[in-house]
Amino acid sequence: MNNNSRPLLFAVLSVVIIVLFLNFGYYKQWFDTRVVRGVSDFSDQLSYMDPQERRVIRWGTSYIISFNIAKSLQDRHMDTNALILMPPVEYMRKVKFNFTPPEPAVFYYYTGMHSIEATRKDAEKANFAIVYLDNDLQLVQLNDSNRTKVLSEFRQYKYY
Amino acid sequence: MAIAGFIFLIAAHYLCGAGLLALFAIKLPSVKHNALAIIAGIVVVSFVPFLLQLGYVPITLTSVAAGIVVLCLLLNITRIKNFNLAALRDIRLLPRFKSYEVPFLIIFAFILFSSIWRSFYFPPNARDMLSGPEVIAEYTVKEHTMLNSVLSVNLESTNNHLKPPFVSGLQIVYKFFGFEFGQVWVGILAIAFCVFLYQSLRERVHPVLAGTLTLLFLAIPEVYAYTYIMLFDYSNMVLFFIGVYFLFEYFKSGRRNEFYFASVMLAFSVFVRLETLVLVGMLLPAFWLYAVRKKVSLKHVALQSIVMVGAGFILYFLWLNVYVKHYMPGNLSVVAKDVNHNLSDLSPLFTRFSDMNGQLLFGKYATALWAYFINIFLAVFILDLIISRKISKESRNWLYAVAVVYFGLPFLGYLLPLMDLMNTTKRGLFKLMPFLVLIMANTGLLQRLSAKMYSWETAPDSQPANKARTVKQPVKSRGKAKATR
Repeated sequence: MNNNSRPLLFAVLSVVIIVLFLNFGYYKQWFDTRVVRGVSDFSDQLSYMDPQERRVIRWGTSYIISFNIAKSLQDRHMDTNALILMPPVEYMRKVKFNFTPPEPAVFYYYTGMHSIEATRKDAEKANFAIVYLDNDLQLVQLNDSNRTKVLSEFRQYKYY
Repeated sequence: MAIAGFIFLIAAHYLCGAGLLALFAIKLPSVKHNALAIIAGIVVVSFVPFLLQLGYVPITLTSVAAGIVVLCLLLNITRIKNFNLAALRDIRLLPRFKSYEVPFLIIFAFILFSSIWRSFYFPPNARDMLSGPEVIAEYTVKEHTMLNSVLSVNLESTNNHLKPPFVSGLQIVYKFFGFEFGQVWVGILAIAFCVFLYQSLRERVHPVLAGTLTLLFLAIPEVYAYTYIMLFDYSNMVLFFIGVYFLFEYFKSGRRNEFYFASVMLAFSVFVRLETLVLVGMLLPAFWLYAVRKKVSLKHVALQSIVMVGAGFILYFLWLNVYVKHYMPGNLSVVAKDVNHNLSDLSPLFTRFSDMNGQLLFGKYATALWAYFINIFLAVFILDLIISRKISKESRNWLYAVAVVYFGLPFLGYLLPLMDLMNTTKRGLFKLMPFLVLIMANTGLLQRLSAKMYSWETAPDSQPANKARTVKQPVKSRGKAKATR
C-alpha cells in the first residue's frame, strides 16, 4: 500500500462511517426530520423574513389571537387599564377551540397588556374576559353583573 | 446592524474569553483555545447587563457596549502589557486538518448550520423562556432596566423571572446589537463546544474515531434540539463539562491554574442553573482523593475546596440573596417553598432514581431522547471491560463525573420538588453525554484501535503495518500506544 494513499483510504472510511451512521435506524429519522428538513426549509424561510411573520410561524394561534385581542383594545383606546381574564386551557379544550391561552407573563410578552387567570387573587379586578360565545371566541367587557358568572365558570376548569 | 453587531459580539466573546484564559495561563492548541475562548466569552458577556443593573446604570446600547469593552480590557490587561507584535506572525489563520477529517467537518458544518439558522430565524419558544428571561430581556431593551414592567404582571403561575440572569443577559445584549430574537448565541455556543469536544477527542484517538464519536454526540436527538432551542440546560452542560475537564487536567498535571480555571467554569455553570452548586459540591471527594494521593497539604486542600465550591456560591448568593432579595420588588423569594421540608421520607428519591432509569435512560422514551447513544456507550464500555479487564485512570475520573450527575440529579429532584422528571431531570441528563463520549475515547478498545490506525497510516511503504517501527502519534496517546505494542 502506497503511503500517500492511506489518508485517502481513511477519507473513504470517514465517508462510509457517516453514510452508514446517518442511514441507520433512528439516526436516519433524526437526520431527515431535524437536520435536512431544517436546511431544506431555509430557502422558503428566506421569503418570510419579517419578524412578525416569523412570530406567527413559530407561535401560531396562541400568538395570533392574543395579538388580535390587544389590537382590538388598542383600536378602541381601552388598552391602558385593561386586565384581561384568560380562559383555562381545559375550558378551551372542552369547547374545542384551537387556542392555548398564554399565561400572564407570556401574554404580556406577546402584547404588552396585562392578563390574569380566574384562580389568582386579583382575578376580581379583571375588566375584560375572553369567552367562547356563539361558536366563536370573543372579548367581552366585564362588569358587576357578569364578572362573577364568568369567574365561577372558569374556576371549574384547570389552567394547566 | 445585525452583521456589524455579530462581528462585534464574536470579537467580544473571543477577546473576553481569551483574556480569561490568559489570566489563568491556560495553554491549549489554537483551535481548541479559540473555541474555549468563545465559550468563556459568551458567559463573560452575559454578566454585563446584570452588573449594570446592580449599579443601577440604565441599560442602553451605549452602556452595554461600554460595559463589554471595559470587561474586555480588564480581562486583557496582562495580554496588553505583554503584547508582542512579533508573535502575531506565528498566528495561523486557518487550522490544519488531515484530508480524511474533511468529510466529518462537512457533516458537522451541515448539522450545525441547521442549528444556527434556526436559532437566528425563529423567536424563542420554550415556555420557561417566554415567561422569564426572554420577556424580561424584551422589556429591558424597551425600558432600560431589568426591574421593568414585567414584574408588575401577575407572576403567580411562574418562577422563571427568578432564574439567574445568564440567558436574560445574553438576550439583552443580542437584541441591542440587532438580533430581533436574540438567541443566536445558542448556535454559536453549540458550534464552539462541538469544536472543543472534537479537538479534545482528537488528542486521545485517531481523527476518524474522534469524528465518529463527535457525530455520535451531535446526533443525540434531545441534546441536538437544544442547539437551537434557547434554554439553560445546553449551556449548563457545556460549562459543567469544561469545569470537570479542567479539574481532571489538573489531576494529571498538578498545575493549580487549571484547578482555579476549572472552579471558574464550574461557577459559571452554577450561574446558568443554580442547583448545579450541589453537583459541584459532589465533585469535592474526587479532589480530596487526588489530594491524599499527591500528599497535598491540608492548608491547600482546604483553600482549594473553598475556592471550588465558593466561586459558584458567590454567584448563587449574588443572584438569590442580593439581587432577588434586595433589588426585586415584593416578596419574590421562592427558596423556602421550593425546598422539600420532609427529608426523612426518602421515597421521592428512590422514585425519581427509578423513573430516571426506567423511563428516561432505558425506558420507553430512551430512543426518542438519546437515539442509540446509551446503547453504543454500554456496548463499547462492557466490551472493553471484557477484553481489557481494566478501566484506565482517565476513564475512572470520567466515571466519577458520570456518578455525580447520575446520582446527583435524583437527589436534586428529591431536594427540590419543582425539578420534575420530564423537564428538569431529563435535560439535566445532558450533562452525562459528553462524559460518556470521553469514557468511550479512553477505553483500551478504542485506544488500541487508534494506535493501530496511526501505526498503519505512518508505516513505511514496503513494511507491513503491524511491523512498523516508526509511529507518529499525538503526544497524549503515544504512551498508551507503546504500552499496547
